[in-house]
Amino acid sequence: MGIGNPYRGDDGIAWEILRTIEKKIPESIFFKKSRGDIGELLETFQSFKTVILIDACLSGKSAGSWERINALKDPLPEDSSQTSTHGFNVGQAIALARNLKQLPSVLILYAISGDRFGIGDHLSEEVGKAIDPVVEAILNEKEIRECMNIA
Amino acid sequence: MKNDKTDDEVKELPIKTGIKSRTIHVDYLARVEGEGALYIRTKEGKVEEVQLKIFEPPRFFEALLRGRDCEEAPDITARICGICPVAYQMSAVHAIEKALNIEVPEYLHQLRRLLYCGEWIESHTLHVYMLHAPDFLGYPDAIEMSRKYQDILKRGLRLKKAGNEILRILGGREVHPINVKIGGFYKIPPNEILSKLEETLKFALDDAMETVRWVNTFSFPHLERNYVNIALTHPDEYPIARGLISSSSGFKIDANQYDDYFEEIHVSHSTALHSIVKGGGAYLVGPMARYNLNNKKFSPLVKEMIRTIGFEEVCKNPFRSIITRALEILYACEEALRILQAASWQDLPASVPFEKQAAKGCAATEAPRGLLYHRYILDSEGVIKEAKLVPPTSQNQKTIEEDLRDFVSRNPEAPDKELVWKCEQAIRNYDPCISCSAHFLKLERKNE
Repeated sequence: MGIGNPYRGDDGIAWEILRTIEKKIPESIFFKKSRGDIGELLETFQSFKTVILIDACLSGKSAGSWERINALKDPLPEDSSQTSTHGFNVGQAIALARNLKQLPSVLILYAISGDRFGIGDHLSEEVGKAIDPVVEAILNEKEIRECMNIA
Repeated sequence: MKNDKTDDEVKELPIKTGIKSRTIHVDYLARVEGEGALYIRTKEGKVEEVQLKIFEPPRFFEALLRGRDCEEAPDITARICGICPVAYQMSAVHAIEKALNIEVPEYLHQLRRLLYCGEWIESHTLHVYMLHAPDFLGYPDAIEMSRKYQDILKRGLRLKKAGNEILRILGGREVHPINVKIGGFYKIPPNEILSKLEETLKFALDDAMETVRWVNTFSFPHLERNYVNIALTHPDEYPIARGLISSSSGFKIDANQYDDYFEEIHVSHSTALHSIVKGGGAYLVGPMARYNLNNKKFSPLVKEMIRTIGFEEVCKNPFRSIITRALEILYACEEALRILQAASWQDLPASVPFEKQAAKGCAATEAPRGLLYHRYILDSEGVIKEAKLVPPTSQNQKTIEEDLRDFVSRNPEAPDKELVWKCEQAIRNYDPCISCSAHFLKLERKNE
């Protein structure tokens, strides 16, 4: 599930990653481009056993740096951005899902630090460089490899 | 009593309490959409200054619309807001249809009303459950509230989803729907797809009734003012997308008279304009204003609920606006179901044809937060020469400041921490959409 807005600069990175990865993955894996609606996030958590989230964040780290987080166990990165209107970000959606006991069995978050979130449909150069390594990392996820029948 | 701010954070904030004066300064309002701040200064218990500071950068949508074909207006204006895009689309198409003398058949008006019901349901529900209820229950946010109120939050999310389903099926997408056009819709979904909404809405109706009963149990701070209520009124229905702009002070006007009765003022502390009635002052738009002017037009079910909970005929306490919002959720669920059950759109044209011409058109519809006015001037090719959009939150700004002035004046002895929270809660009474409200009156562009 890629969360973001393709018309807000680096906030479009998640959808761009999905666009790249879609061509390489079987139809048994469900793709969703989301603008971060909290209800949509919670419904996705409830509907699937394994959810891989991709999201840009405003963490203060260098643009294009990224990390893989086990969102069920590890603390989430500091993120002062909001993925949807009315002020709910991915971290809050996860916290809410935890309290409502609606988390999936596996929840992985790929958080990519962005730099420019103003109006525009172009990624900054540094953030664009994160696409290939993040795609490669996702393709190497155990659950993805199982779906692709790769040992 | 829990608060967004810890005691240490309150001490760190510039909340200065001298012997005879006090300054409340909230740098960043929580649980509102967009960026705003609050500044209140009192002296010897008297409020000297109140500023609701909007520093959300203006996005110049009125300027963006200039030079665009009028057919693009619904899709461009929908991007102003992610939570009330339908309202922008409806005000846009109605204004341009008036300009071009387009008569939209009644069945398309009913479909538009259905779409708008979906938006009222999802927007109001998000605000009631996730943004406003925590204030009344003593929680800093819905996340903390969800630890104890799991089933209630789940009910809110179910209800919001019902609204989103209407937008997805009829609007083509939940955020920034893509199916609205001048003259109607691009496509009417087949009856078998639309009818799936009926089952969803039957359950939603139960959830909506529980929502009204739930918010009615809250404890409400005391604040009563005599507002000038402004909303659409209609002879046959609780108004959503059609009607005359009406005032509790007496006037009732067509949207093309808007500029004769209202004006916008630019204030230094806000990127959003303030609106006043000409020769008057601040006024109120939104669910409470709509309720006060139109509650006799509710369905028997909603009227019965009002009677059961003992809700007043005229609501003057803005903290109790959450009840009017809940009543509108109930009405929207019922109305959406009625529209779906009453008609079939099989084989009917999704839109009517039209010709472009030089013209001017104005319209107002009822966004979840209140009256949303649009005006367009087109050239002979249908290109927009000028656009004016007046969102509800900017219309309510002056009223919000007056509420704060009144509330703080009545509570001079309240401890700082409690007063800060109550002031923020008072702002959240209006479910402000600050991003929508930030726009400039004039744009001068100089090519060198």
